[in-house]
Amino acid sequence: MTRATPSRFSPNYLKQLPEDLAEYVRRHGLDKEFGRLDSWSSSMEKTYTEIEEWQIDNLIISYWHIECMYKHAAGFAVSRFLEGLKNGKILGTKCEGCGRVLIPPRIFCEWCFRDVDTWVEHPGTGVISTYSLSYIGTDPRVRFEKPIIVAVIWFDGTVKKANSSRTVLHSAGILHKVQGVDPEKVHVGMRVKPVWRRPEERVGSILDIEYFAPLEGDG
Amino acid sequence: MRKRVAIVGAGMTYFRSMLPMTPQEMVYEAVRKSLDDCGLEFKDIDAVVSGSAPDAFDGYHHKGLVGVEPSGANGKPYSRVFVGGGTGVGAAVAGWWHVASGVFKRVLVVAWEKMSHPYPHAQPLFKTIFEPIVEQPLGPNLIWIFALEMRRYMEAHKLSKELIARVAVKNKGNALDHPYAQLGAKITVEDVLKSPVLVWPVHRLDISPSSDGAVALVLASEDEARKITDTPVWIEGVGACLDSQFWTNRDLAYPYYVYLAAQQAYKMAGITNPLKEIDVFEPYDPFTYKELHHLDALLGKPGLAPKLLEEGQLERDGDYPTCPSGGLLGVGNPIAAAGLMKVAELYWQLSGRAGKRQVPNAYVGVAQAWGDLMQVAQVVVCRS
Ligand SMILES: [Zn+2]
Repeated sequence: MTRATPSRFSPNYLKQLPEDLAEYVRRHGLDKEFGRLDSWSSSMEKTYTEIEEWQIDNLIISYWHIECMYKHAAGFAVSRFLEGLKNGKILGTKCEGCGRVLIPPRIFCEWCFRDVDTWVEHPGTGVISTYSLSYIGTDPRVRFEKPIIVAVIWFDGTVKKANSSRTVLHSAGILHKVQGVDPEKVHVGMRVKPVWRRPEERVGSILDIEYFAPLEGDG
Repeated sequence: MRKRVAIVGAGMTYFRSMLPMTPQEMVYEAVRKSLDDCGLEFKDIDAVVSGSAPDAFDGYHHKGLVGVEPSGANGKPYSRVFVGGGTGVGAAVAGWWHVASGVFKRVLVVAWEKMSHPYPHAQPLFKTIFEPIVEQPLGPNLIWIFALEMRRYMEAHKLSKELIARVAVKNKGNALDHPYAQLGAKITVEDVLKSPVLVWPVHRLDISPSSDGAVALVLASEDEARKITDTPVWIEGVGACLDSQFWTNRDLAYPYYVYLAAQQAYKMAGITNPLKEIDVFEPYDPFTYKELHHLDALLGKPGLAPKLLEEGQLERDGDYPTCPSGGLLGVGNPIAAAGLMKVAELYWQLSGRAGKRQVPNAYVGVAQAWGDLMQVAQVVVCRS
């Protein structure tokens, strides 16, 4: 075994490589700037939706795609939650150990590690814990004219601090969208309520709540 | 009795938006260089710990196996670590377990990511990190969680976009001195603020570039390390911690789980005051605000990191050099490889091999990565 010393280390990239690898790198121009954003401004000019393409001649590339479909069991707790949404109700469970209201509901408490089987109904009013303005969707090639407002809604009266820490808290809360307010005017702490789809349109989905809207007098 | 563990060698590939190499070839390059760095061969290695993030990037659900051949793991124990973005540092933590347990003497840790496989774009895969029943129907994209967390963090400490943008300026500037960096650049706060808004408050230049790359480290027990090198860097503490998957039920302003993981590592390393005792910080910075958010937790003081940034203390020549490598924002973010790059940076900094990036008088460093759905913390503390 040879002992390595700092002097063995070379900052020269090609010198660090075995010769055949170095040759490959040279042949494809990788010792230069390939794949490096040649200047910060090029990253500014590029739109997020642009697709980068391989730019090396004579390189063999293979394409394939996978098609998979899934059906998920919603489980005991979330099935009942979705059933509630279908009926225009927001249901959660309540842990009799720590007193937390759990929305999305679960059948166990991860703080107390015990069974949870008490169900409660919540009116759905709450505050915006945090929000963002999304100019892109799941497909980043689609850019929205007007951003959608995405928010975490914390339901009224469910915030509870952990005994173990000054900085950890629990609140029943979900991810959803906010409408009926100018994106400039949304704020953390804004009071909101759910806006439901018409009963005949509801299917037992998180989208049965169409969006959250500001409560009268806020927004 | 746990054994003392040293890093004795490191190697990495270029971080690039697209490398025309297979993951195997990238892994080979990084591993070869890490072995050359310490004068070892495949046969000297007792076990291999690998790390790579979602299989979906490769469309190949035996992704862990691509690391076997090029790391010389045939005929040896080989495992793959996966904790989302925390994978890179998590692999180093798992490598430490292997040697500290006394079961293995020389262990190779390798992490890689090839993010350029998905075509035309990786975002449809990122949608699948969200919970499938109550979250995915809303049509989320990856940046949502960062924008939501960033907004909450800004609210908690009344932070401006202008201040947070300085993280991008600093890290991309630091990366100019990193020989493998993808996006070293001299930019201004204004450039960040003028770059396109993707999901407000996140602008394009708040985000690290997606990347291809691989990094490898060689770990050794104390007696072996002394035989192999004159400049071992000791892994003195490790920590790992998870928070709840129900992220909409948590306050995103402070990553308490990062604090807990750091405390585990500090306790093991005998560090009681990280502000006084740590010379180099490499918190995980996939987005600008994340560096501050994580540094808050590594220091155990919510809201302190932005103040230090404002005072210029996080610069390489400041009192608390943070991401002297250039971080993910500057060097690039090939997920698992980016995390392990941070541990490699500690090795280079603390053994005095960081070249133009060298922080003077660097003896103790901390590296951290974060992942899954805003809930994983992995921390490594090193000392020379
Ligand atoms: Zn409980």
